[in-house]
Amino acid sequence: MIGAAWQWIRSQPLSVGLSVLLHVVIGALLIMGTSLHGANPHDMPGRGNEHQPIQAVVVNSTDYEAAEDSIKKAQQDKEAHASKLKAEAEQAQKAREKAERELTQLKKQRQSTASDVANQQKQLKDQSQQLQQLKDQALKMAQERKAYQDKIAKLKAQAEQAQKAQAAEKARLEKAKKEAEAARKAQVQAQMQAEQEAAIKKARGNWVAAIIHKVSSNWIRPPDTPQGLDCNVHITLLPSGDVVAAKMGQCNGSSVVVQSIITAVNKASPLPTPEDPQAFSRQITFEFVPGQ
Amino acid sequence: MRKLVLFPLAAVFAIAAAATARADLVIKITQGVNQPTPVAVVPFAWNGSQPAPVDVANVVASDLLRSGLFAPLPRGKMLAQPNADSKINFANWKAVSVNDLVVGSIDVTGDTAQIRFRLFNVYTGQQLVGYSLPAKVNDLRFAAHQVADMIYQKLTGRPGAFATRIAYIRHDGTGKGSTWDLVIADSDGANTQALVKSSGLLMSPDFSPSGDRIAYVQFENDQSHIYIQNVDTGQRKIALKHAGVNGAPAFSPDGKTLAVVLSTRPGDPDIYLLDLATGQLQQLTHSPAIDTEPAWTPDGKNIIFTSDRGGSPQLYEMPITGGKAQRITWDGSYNARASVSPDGKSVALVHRENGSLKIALLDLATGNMTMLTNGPTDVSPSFSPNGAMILYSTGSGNQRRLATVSVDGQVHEELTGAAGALSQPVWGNIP
Repeated sequence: MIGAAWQWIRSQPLSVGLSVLLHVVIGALLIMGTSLHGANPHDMPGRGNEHQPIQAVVVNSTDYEAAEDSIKKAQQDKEAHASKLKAEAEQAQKAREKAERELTQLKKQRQSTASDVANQQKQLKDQSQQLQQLKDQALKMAQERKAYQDKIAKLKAQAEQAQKAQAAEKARLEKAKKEAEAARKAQVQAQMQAEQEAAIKKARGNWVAAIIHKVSSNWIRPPDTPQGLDCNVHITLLPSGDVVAAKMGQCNGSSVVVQSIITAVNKASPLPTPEDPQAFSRQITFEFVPGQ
Repeated sequence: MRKLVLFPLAAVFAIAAAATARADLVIKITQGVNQPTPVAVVPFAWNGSQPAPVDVANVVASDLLRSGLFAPLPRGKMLAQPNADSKINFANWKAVSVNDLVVGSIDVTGDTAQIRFRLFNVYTGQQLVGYSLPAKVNDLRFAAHQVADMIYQKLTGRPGAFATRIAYIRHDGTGKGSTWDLVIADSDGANTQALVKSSGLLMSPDFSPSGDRIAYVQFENDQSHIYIQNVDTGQRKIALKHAGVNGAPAFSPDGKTLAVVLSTRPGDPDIYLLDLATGQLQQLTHSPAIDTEPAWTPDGKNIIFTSDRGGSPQLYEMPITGGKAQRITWDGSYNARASVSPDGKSVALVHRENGSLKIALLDLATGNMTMLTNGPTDVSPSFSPNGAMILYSTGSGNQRRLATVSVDGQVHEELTGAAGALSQPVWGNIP
């Protein structure tokens, strides 16, 4: 019984504190009231003994005077004493009223404290319930929040994935575009190159024909040029067409034929130049093969 | 001049060349030109107290021109006239497109001249020949022909035949006052010398292979005789003196036999072989037709002669050992007077075409005949000893002259010579 109460007190310190204080105050007031009534039961101004009986004494003038003075003085003292008593009574009355008021108040307070406790308990209960509710709510919210977070995370992941996919697609498209561009460029370049090569080839063909014409025109065939003559002469050409070196390669002809060939290629200098400088060749080998 | 025809071929090789574009460009030259080689023979410097009796460079240039293989630059086109001691500026010669250049100097001491000459390839600057040869001042012309021969040989690879002699018959005057001379001259017709002077008809001279003797026909009292005369001493002897026609003597390549024509019966001349050592005569042909104008093949094994045994004069060939004569000319109704080339591959002859007598060349291997002259009276062809030219007579009457034609028919040159009708030329061997 005591343990449970203690437990309760511990759990309700404010309420217990208040009720203890209340009991103490009430106890103190009860003791004070008793002593007040015991010590001055007649001094209570409110009970009609405002004039106490006076002992008469004859006195000469001087004595009268003295007596008068003394009476006066006593009167005065009595009056002072009565005023004092009256003040004291009033004071006590006031204190009692105050105590009563306080008691009432305390009662009130006690009552309100009890109801407060109940209220508090109810409140506590409510609070507990609320708390539970809140807890539940919080849990629910936490769950919801988690679900929400999960959802967000999922959405975020999805978004990221989508973004990644988009980026990948973009990269792919970019790459494809680049590749297509490169392919197109390569094709254009290949075509240009092909055209250029064709042009060079044509220029070279024309050039070679012009060279053949000039060298042939300058080759005076010796009368004894043998059938099946096959002589090579290597020449080095400047871009101007000037033959700077003519070196005889293999030759099955006589020294006269060799002379005629060397003379022909030198006399043909400067050789024609190609219309396209790229068709130019610095090294040329002439094969003198008449009749082939 | 043959035109250069090379455009279709050029296209083909252009393609071939383009195919090997990146490597060394290889270009085939399949055509050349058949043109005389342009040369320059600069007047030789003459270092002598007397004026030069002969323009040596001019003789050389004329020889080269006559060969048909060279086109000497006229002196007026020479930008410089260097001599044997000059430093040559080849640009001067490239500028006038000559392939080869001849410069020379002649230093005279007393009656002896020293001819120094140099031959250069203008385009390589290379000296092909540098030579110094002595000569008598009064024999400078022949020395000039020797210079021409050396140049010719160097540039053609063939021996030259300018320093050789020719013989021919000169007929002057008419009727009873007529005279006939057997003339010997340089190959260009200059430097003439009458070896035989005769009031009777002279015919058919022929040099011995060594050139020291000449066989010929002389009519005396309407009788023809065949004489052989030493060129240097003038001594002569009758080789044949038969009744009837004695004609057309021809020395064999070894000089030991003389082919002759005899007509023991009127109108039936035949070819005989006369052994000069023994005087023995051997009949070669036996046809009833006319067989005449014998010519030896270079190997001395066969005789090519003219015969009308087929109805018209044609050339036949038969071995000197006898046997059947083979007809070798088939084109036209008149082919006569054979002269066999030194290499034995072709025959120069007289061909009649539309009444015009022309010198023609017969290829013995193919039977193809090429006209070398235009006529109308070109006769008596005789090959030069190097086979590059043919000497013949052209024109008629007192205007009959001697001329040469190159074997490709490209160059015709009339020879200088004495007045009178010049006929029956024969070209002597290279000494």
